[in-house]
Amino acid sequence: MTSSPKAMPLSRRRFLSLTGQGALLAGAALGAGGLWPRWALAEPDLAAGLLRMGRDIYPHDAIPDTYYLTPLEPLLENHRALIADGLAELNRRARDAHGKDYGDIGEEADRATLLREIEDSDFFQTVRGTLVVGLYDNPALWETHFGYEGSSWQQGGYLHRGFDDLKIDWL
Amino acid sequence: MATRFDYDDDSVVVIIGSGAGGGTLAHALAKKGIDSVVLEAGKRYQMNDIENDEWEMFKKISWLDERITAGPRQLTETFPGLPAWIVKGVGGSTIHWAGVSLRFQPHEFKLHSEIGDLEGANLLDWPISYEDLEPYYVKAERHMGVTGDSTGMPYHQWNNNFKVLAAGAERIGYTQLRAGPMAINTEEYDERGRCMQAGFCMQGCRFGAKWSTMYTDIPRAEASGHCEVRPRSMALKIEHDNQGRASAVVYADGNGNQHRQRARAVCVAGNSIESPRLLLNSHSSMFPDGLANSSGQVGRNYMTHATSCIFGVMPKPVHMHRGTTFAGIISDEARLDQSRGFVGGYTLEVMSLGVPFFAKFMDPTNAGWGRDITSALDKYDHLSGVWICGEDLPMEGNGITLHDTKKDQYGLPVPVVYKGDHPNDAKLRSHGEQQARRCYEAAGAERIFKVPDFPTSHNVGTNRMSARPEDGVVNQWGQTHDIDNLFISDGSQFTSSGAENPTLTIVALALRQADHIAERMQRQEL
Repeated sequence: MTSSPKAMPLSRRRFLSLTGQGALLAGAALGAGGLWPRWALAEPDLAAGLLRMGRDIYPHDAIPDTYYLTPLEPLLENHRALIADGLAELNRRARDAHGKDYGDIGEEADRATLLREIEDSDFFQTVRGTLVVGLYDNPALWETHFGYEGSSWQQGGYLHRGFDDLKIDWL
Repeated sequence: MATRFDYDDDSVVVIIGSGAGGGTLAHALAKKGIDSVVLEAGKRYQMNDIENDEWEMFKKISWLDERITAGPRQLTETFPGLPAWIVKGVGGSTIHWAGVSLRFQPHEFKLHSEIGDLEGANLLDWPISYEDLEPYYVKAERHMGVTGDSTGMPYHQWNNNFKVLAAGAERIGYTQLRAGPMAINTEEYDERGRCMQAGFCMQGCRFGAKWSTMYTDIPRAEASGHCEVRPRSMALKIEHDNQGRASAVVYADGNGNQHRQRARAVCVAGNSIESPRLLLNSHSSMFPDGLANSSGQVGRNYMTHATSCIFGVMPKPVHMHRGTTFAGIISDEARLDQSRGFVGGYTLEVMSLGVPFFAKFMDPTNAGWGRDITSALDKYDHLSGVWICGEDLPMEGNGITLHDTKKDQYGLPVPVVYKGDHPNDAKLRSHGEQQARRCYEAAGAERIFKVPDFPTSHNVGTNRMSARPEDGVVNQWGQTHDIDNLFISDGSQFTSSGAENPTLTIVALALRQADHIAERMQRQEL
């Protein structure tokens, strides 16, 4: 279900279908269902743009959408004008350059070029700053995706759990 | 049962700060029967407040009061409000420090004599030699529980991260590779347990295996009956009497109420930003430029270490997060050898970050996003990292000043922390980066990259020691040249930065200062 670098344009319809699948995955991961962000369903165009942008800023093909959307949710509640205006401007630039909205551009490299042009803006850095914590400070992803084991004191650290288990056999 | 001293009790030593300098000093004085009141701006934490969680601990214990990063350096852009990564809490930055406990090398106390003048650098010899401090290094190592000869505690086993760096380092000819000395127990010592290799040294040691005044000096000083620690007490101003001697410290408590604690002597140990800031804020008609500032050197010569950070992506999982954070030290480049094109040396120290901080720090510039970043993060468990800790030269223009208009929550001017490189710093850093890259290349890294500077944890030099009053702020005992019962007890005393982490030297100086204060009190000079 995850977007690959050359994913289909993220249309409103696809977004809704993604979120449906994402919700199922999130439910499975969190052990609780029905946690889908309400604004994402209420404002699917903004949500789709924000999701596309989040995935372009920190692209991890194997990480499901839900892990991007959940931390981005508060932005639309707390910084709605910044996000709405920022996405509108991004779409304007996209139409100037490619004749279509940002989310409808098929090539990741083309979308990245557009984002580079606005990377110094408050809008871009707000989204990025939110995601750099929201995406990477999520324990649900640490071990499964990054091989990071998180808090260890409860298990007595790594003294008997591999702090020195590396065999350098590649040299 | 806790000792309480009266606000008007002018027999107490008032110590500002409870970290490596202040906490050590309070305990050392208490053991001699000397009473002190410790004013600590931060809260008191318990062991179960310490979590293995990078962001939670950052938010919980960091000094986050408004500060302004300034100067021609990347940190001015990337962390405009957070020049330093230090702690606000009882125990100060000894909660956060990583435990590396290297002594300064003998030549580092007299770099100016060794190399002469260097344009743009405000070089000065310390008024003490290595030989003067050596007995206190031994005392400090025993006091803190530093692995190695002084305690007999063995060094740590090499963790995976250090094994990788060491494999490369040995291949390029380095020989001075050690998993110590560290003030992290490898066996039970001083009623504290051994290191469990949990990682998260910089978030505070949940097991108490790493020395911190939070759970050693401070509670012991309090238990002696000779020390009262007042948390959430922000020193605002040091007052003096008609003779120009320090007489009291005015501070704000946690509710914003101001108090005046009278003092027999005042010892300032608020770290290299707050200590000069307090002296500057304590200006009076007798001392219009701030206390102890007849030299004009208060707040100047700010040094942070010339640092850089290099990571390598290895062919197999390393799990750098397992085990002590700064797990191994390479000292081959710590020597003074001008044939390398720079003066001073540097230490290579293997280091790790968890996923949350690695993601934040890998490239905090506006441009730090995209596949370059995430392709490294996708290989997080294959990473190994090394930090370069290099001699940073003193420059008069680098320092702490007070903002003209911005005030903090206490109504005090916000500190502006200005720092730029001396050309020597840049050469040293670039040499260190090149050598670190060579290590990882030799270790078979598939990709090697640099991580920009973090907000600095090593902040020294802003009230420096000098033989002559016109060159610095304090004498060889940390006593200010201008005011005989006013002392500086933290890293701001440093005349030079050395190539070593500062905490061990701060503790050695505090123990030495405690002896000096006790002797002078005995002679009724203080």
